[in-house]
Amino acid sequence: MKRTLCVVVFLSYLLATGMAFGGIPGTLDKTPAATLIIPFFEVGINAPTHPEDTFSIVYNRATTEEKIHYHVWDKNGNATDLYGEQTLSGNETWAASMRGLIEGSTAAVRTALDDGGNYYRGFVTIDLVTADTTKNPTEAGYPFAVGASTNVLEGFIYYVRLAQGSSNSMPMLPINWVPNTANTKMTDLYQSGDEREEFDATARGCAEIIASNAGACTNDNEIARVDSRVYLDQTYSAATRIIVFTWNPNVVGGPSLYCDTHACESDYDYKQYDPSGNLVTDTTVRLPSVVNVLSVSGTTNGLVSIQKIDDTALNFNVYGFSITNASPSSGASANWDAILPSYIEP
Amino acid sequence: MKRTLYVVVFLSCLLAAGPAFGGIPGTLDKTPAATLIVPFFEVGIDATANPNDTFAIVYNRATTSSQIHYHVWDKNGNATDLYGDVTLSGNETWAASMRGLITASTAAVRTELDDGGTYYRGFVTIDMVTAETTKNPTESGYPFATGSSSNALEGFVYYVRLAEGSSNSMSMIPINWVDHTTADGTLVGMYTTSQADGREEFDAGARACSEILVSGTAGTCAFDAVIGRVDSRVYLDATYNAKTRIILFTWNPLIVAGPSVYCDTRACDSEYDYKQYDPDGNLVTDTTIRLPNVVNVIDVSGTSNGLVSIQNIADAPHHYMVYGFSMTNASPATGASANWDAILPSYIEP
Repeated sequence: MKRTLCVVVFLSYLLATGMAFGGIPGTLDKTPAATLIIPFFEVGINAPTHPEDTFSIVYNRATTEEKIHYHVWDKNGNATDLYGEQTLSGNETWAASMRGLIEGSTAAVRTALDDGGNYYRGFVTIDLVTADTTKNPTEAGYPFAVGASTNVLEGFIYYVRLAQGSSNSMPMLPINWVPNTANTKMTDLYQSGDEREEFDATARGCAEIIASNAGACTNDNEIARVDSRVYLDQTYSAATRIIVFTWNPNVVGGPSLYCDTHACESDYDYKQYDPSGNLVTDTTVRLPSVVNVLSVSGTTNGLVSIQKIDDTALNFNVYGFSITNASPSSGASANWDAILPSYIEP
Repeated sequence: MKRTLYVVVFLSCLLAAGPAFGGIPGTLDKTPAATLIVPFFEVGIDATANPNDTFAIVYNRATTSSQIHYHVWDKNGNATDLYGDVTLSGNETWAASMRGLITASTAAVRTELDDGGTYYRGFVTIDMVTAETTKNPTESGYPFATGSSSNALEGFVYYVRLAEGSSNSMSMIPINWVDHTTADGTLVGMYTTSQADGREEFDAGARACSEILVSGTAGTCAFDAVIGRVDSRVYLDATYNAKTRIILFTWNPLIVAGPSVYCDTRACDSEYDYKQYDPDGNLVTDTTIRLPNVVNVIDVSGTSNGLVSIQNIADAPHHYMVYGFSMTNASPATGASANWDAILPSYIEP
């Protein structure tokens, strides 16, 4: 009788909370998550001349009310004073314009996010939390919501320049809550005990090893490759930028900055291939920031491979994608853009 | 001495082939793969009236030459006679316009791909192979390239209507080669009944199995007879004449057509929950939907933004590979200078 009651209570709880599939640790699989990351936002400071904006869309797939805390960071990984909470009812969607949030913030925040005078740039973390907080998720005492029922957030990003007739989009990075049965090399993104999955080289490699039944997890000191599609056709005045997100929540700056004062490599191989496979650029690149915006040179389409990104610190979480902007002078009626996630090998 | 020689030869092979990270079985992680899938293509039959085209881009990340076989399928999963083989040198990129391929094919192929008179639609598989072939990958004797060095393909898709000033893009679906002698059998054998193709699956069972294994949760992998949810973002703002379509790819390579057709004659459900939520979380549409095809193109009704959740998709044969994304097309009458689109992959729970 008691067992039956327990089962009924458990099932009722599941139905009430709308418990989600847990997702795969160490993998940015598109499953509901306990944390979402916008790895890059870009907002033109002068809207008439630079209409770029970034829209953030968060859906609560639970049937119950949930609270999220968003925190805006500058491109180097400094938490700003632009943050807040939203309470989402079951199946509710929260939509926010980064332009709107930044314009509603303080002058100090705008100065912190100003990246060169024309754009505000940085990234955003969005966590399921148990209470309002003024802290950011790397600080002790941050009220992380944990448990299987916290994997309920689904996030989408639009990169727009609507006044110029263009929009593109991609999912936010979904960071699953991970049970304590998982290998510890795959958890604690922000800090010990947060139970958020990591996506550094070690976590990515570990997930593959375990799922493939290929042995034991080991530490991995580098991301081997971040391969990004580039499209530079001058017929369309096309320009490609690669966004490489390299975040160790324990430090400020990217891996190059970290390695400038530690025994590791600050420069990483940068190899650009044309469509025929010819190596047209063979150089190195620094990744000094969390949000690294790399403008690709040349006029031939193909691929850029950034290789051997150091992770001696064993906590640089890496993601990448390319953004192409095209502005045909004739033929097509207006501008168009394209976003493509990078292929990443640990 | 002999052992040293073996080591040298082995390392030389590794360096020559540029071995790739194997990727995570049961998970569509963006890692180099042995097979790529373009889950949907759309080409306007009359290019002037409907300039839609789909570009396929395949990069060979190996340092050595690799042979790929592409095969074009109609929306129901019938292999067409539009296929070919391409040899890519190390780091070479192959770019193809589906319009170009279809225009150069036969009248029979064009008839097969004609989806209602206005568009050609279907999907494409691209495999690393060891030899040229006239077969498709579900046929016996297909020359699959296997081994960790076969995980060397990276693919991208552009959905364009350039004459109308719009382009969007996403990755192809990367299907890793998986060592079937060590990996759980639930994760391997996408194309065939055996696991010898070494291609990872992404049906409900494989997705759940991957999570069970990597999370270290109690239990063993088991067949999962249902995809729990496919959640897709929709944007229907009438100010911008926005329309959203959901593309739901449901492919069991062992049979023709989608799960609804399969279940019409078997003991499983042919209709699946379709729940549309507005921004406030109100359930504005609560109905069911059929998924009769491999490539299901679903027009979302209404004028409020939000999300559509398609739930409890049957996978009775334990072999329906599922992927989804939404495509929004907008044509502002004022303000913005022209059309713009947006593509967003769906969130999927097994």
